[in-house]
Amino acid sequence: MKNQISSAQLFCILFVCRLLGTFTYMSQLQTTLHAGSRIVATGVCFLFSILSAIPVLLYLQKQNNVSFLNAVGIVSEKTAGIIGISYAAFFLFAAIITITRFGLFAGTVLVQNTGLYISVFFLLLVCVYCVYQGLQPLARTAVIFAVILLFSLIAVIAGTIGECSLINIPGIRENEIPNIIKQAFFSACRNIEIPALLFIAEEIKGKAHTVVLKFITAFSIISALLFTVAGGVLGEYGDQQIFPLFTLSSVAKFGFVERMEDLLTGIWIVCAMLKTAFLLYVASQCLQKSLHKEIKTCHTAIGAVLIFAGYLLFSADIPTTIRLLRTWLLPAGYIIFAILLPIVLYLLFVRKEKKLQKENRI
Amino acid sequence: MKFLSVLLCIVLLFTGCSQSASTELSNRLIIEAIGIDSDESGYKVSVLALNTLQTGSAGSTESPDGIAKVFTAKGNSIADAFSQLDLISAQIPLYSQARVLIIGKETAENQPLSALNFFIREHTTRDDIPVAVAETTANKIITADLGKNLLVSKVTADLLSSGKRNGQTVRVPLYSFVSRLLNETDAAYLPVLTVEKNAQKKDEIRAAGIALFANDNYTATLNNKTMNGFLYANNLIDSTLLEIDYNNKNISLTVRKIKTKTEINEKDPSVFSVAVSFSCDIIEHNSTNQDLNEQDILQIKLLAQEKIKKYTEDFLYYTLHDCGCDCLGFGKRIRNKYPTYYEQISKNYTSFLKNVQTVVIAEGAIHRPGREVLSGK
Repeated sequence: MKNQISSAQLFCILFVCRLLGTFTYMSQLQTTLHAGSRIVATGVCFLFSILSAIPVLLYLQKQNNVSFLNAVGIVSEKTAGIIGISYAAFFLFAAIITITRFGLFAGTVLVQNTGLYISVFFLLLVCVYCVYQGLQPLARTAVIFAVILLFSLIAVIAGTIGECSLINIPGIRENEIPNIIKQAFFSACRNIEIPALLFIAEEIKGKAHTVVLKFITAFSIISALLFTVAGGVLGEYGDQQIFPLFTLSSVAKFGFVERMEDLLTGIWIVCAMLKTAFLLYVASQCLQKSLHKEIKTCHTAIGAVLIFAGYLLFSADIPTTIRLLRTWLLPAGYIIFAILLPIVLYLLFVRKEKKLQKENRI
Repeated sequence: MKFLSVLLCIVLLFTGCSQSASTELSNRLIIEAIGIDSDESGYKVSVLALNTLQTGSAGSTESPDGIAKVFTAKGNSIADAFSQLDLISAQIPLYSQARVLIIGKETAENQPLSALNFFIREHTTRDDIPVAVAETTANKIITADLGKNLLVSKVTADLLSSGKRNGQTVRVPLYSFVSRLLNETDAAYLPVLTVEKNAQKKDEIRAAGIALFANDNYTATLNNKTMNGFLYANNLIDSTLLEIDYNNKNISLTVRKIKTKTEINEKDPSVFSVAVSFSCDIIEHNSTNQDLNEQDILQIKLLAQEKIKKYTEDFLYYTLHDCGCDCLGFGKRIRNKYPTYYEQISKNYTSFLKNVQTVVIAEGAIHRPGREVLSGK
């Protein structure tokens, strides 16, 4: 198929999108965790991520080049339509959370006195343009920024490792275990990009399931490393900061290069744009396939308007924003759309396929 | 679509340049150094700020008074004082360029954490700004007259950074100080600065020890005698000068590659070992007989070890027994290794510290005896 993205490009999209969530990690959003527990939670999150990705991974392994909605369409056209719209709503909701979270980050540590509405509006406009261009240009951009991101991460770690003292990281306490599990669960449920692959399976060249496994492993290692360095450098100060990893980047010094957070912030804005564009692209794919109409630009624009409306609604005041970010809707949605629906629909698809094969034989 | 993308590029190029969103540089009060003092009536903020209206011309021959200006404002809180500053200077303060934050002794003695809350919260301040305590008031340091072309902020920042190589002071970034203050067992520390008159009747900013804080209180000041041990034990110096007395002659050594490892005893969590390893160069010995033989070098090495061990032991005894301060993170080590025991001792940690036993080991090697030939005697 033309315009397919390679495994490496897919890895870069997943990497860039998911790492943004780590950078904008907020202390005490879901639970109060000390640095040591946060590192353990990353390990537990790795297990949860693998487990929760199994249905998607199995689908990608078995039906590598068939979009999920096409497979569901074999079971029932009507069901495929409903499922597509539901998934589109889920991805748009995830995009609203991404933008709102980024808005909170930007408004808290970057530009407190300036309204972010205009910036978010233009960011979404760029996203619409990206979606219009297709997945291939988005993937190419992701590759460039994945490399830049990786270098900036190395620079932050190298620029702070000298100040890192592992005694600043307390061990886990028994009473923290429920919080660790909660944090790991919430974190695993932010892997929205994994169910999104169901809808772009036909646009991926190579084995997508192995890419997902590599991505989860790499992401977990990098997150654990970042949390270890942050805990070791910032100590209790990190627990006081709303965005501890941003604080870590602000104290990093790499040779004569100081104030790395300014450089990183620019990169993170592009990451936020890429993630939103990716979610918007997948949502528009869902709508396009379920409505069977070639009105992609219109879908995308409507999606962007919905995201912007959601952002305006949820960023009105901090309690509303925090309520959105703490909500169980995203984890609940993740369980339904990444685990339950793929299992149920895939089983139905397999049953239907067997039935059709039987009928053909007769 | 091409039209849209071109339009988008044009629009993005102009964002942030509108009159409402931007602030001209001349409207900014570019703060170089901040001093915080307090008394019963509230906080007094002294800032050294660049005189942006005068520093615009390249090759300016303005005196420091012309390059920088000192503003002072009072308020019920730091934020209130800074807002007063805005009124006095008619410029919007820019904190991110500040090179140093100095807190007056009275502020340091009265819950410094609350005085620093503004700097922890405000997004334009730097997390890694070096913090110091003034021996008297911060205002005295900020307003010091160092002479032509010398800015207090630059001199102070350089002085604090020089501690790594001269062992006279220490550079403590804000995040590190606050992190230690927040920890329930750790002692936080800050360099102490003072202003003295030199022979030319000009002010000079000097290091005057290290202030120790326990439980958000200014507890003690380390003097020259105990400060060396503190710097060695905390890995806070890269190199320093060590003078030893050998056969009634003074020998000067440069101590380098100082690495200290603190470990908790496996059997008894109230016993710690502090092992200092270092390398030495003999840079001077004022003897009439210039020859040093292998035996002399061995003796000098032993004397150096002995002296560094003594420094560290004196510091540990003073901080643990006299001040009740944990400067080496003993509490954190116990917390990480023996959490149950930590729960018991953390309630009355100061009295626990008095019973802590430390075993200091100093291991060194003389790598460069100098350019003189070694005697074969």
